Amino acid sequence: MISSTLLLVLFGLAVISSVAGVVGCYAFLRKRTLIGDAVSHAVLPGVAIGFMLSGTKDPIALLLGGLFFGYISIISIDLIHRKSKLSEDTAIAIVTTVYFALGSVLLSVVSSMENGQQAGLKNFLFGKVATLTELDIWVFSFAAIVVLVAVVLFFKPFSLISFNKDFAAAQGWKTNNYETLISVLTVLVITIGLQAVGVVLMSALLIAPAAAARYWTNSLPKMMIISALFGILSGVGGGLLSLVGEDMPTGPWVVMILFFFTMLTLLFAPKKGYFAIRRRTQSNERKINEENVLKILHQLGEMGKEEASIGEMLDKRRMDTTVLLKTIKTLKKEGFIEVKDSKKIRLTENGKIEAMRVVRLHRLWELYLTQQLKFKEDHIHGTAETIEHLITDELEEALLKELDYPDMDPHAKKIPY
Amino acid sequence: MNSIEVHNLTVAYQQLPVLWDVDFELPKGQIIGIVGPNGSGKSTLLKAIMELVPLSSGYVKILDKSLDQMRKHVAYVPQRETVDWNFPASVRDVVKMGRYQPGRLFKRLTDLDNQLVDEAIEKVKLTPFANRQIGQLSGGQQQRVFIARALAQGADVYLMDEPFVGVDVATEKAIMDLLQAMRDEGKTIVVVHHDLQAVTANFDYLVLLNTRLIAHGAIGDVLTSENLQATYGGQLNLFAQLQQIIQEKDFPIREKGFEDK
Repeated sequence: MISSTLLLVLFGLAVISSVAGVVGCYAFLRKRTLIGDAVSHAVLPGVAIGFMLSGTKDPIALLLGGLFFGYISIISIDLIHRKSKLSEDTAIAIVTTVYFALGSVLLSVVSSMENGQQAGLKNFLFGKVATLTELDIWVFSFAAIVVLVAVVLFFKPFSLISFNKDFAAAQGWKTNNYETLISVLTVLVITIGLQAVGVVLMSALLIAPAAAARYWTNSLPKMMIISALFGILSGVGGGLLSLVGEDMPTGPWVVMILFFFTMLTLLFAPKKGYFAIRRRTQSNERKINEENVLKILHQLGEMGKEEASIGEMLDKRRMDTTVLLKTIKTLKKEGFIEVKDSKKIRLTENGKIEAMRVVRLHRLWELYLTQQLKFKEDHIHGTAETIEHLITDELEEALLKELDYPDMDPHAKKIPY
Repeated sequence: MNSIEVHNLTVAYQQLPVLWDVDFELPKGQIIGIVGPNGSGKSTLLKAIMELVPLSSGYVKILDKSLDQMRKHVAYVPQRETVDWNFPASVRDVVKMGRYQPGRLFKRLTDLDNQLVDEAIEKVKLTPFANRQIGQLSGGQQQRVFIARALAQGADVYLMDEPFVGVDVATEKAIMDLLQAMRDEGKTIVVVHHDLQAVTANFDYLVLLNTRLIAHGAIGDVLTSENLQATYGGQLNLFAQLQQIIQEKDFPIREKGFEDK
């Protein structure tokens, strides 16, 4: 049964995780993913101190404490990096661990306080959506929407400094102020996500959706929308799954679902995904094999052999026998060759035209390499072998013009038209 | 009126002076080359003019006014390698950035803005590629995207950092033609360039730089063998040693309380 409390929790998770996805795009594009992790660890002391001062688990005290310490951590990283000549990743490592240690110490103090146990502050490590109160959800959702509005309003300067900060500064934008603003918004998102996802894994909700979304589009606004969707699906999905068991933390489930989407993306994304790349490689290979087989038959034809057996073809050009047989099958299906009863293979009329085209491109390119690019004659064959498969009709036309419609290639073989 | 005036300009990175007391004025409506070997402070000079690096001393004037008063009249073209071209943006997206202005933060781009963007793309001959992601362009095309973004700003003075690096000969010529067309419309173009090869012949005016100013003036007056020797003949040994010492000792480049007159 779906209760209204559950719906409210899911709504809160959707808002928080979608905004994390959107803001995460800037962290990702500005290559500041490690800082997100540092900040999420560093807000822990703020959470503990927020509790100490307010005496209860008050979302606003928590937000302010987290915001304060998150921001201080960014300044600390910057200061350590600039003043001590330590590299930035060292500074990040120092800040992450020291603040996290401080936060853990303070939390253990809080746990021994009155009210401390019931507040379940331990859940801040891995997140527990069940501990969210109604007030928590309203406060966090409101904060998330403020962040979202800011991201939309400041799209121009934010995208400018993410792409090209010097240019933005030259245009007169106060880049330091906007960088600070992005940092504050990031800290805010991390803080509101803490209770649900936890200190340790919050940075995943910030970075993973953005990293996956980048694969699906080349437009920043679209990337933000896709990233928000990945965020929602993982946040809500992780929340639901964690509610099944009594003692189940939410953060790990969220990260598992994020990982699932990231894998899905790496496999299936258009153009850059694994399968898209494999499809391209395979179709290239198929094309190369087909054109090579046609070329063998043409060359045998030049030697007066209209038909050839598999063995004769393999003598002419070294090729894997299974690949050759498979290619012959496809070529036959496409009507470029026919197989006689004697198992001998010959080109059809269409096949002859196509074979001539391949041989022509090979020889034209060899001629271009020797004449225009001054390659040595004994060096050109290998290059021409690859390039012949790549030349388009337009390139062929340009090649012909530049070479002035030649008859012979550099090895004094006829160029077939 | 001068297009750019630079007075007593000194810039140091971590105490190492990269520009030392540079002082010159540049004319308007010309193609001006800033030329010198690697590490001679050319890029830093452009950044100093655009106030992107802190100045140890000196000041800059653009069209007789301060940079803040003249922002809209100057366009800066950074080096191509300074950005990540994998950024999710098309050619048009990037050129549109030229129309972003701090004063119009919350305003959408108008039809006029979009028209200027299209014209800028047209001028650099990238119209067929307008919707392509910028990472899928050749080096020369990426350089032209940056120039189009500056054109879209509609400025009078253009500062270009190494626009001829990593482009083929055909693109080099295309860019040069474009710069000449801009000059003929009365624009001032300042181009940082690392050597004195072919393109330099098309410049009208030269600034020879090697940490200190060697010479500046019309191209015919400046290109003397003495000047070239001073520019490219290697760092003066003593000078380089002194730079090193300043850095090692964290010594200030200007004494406290020293005021430029």
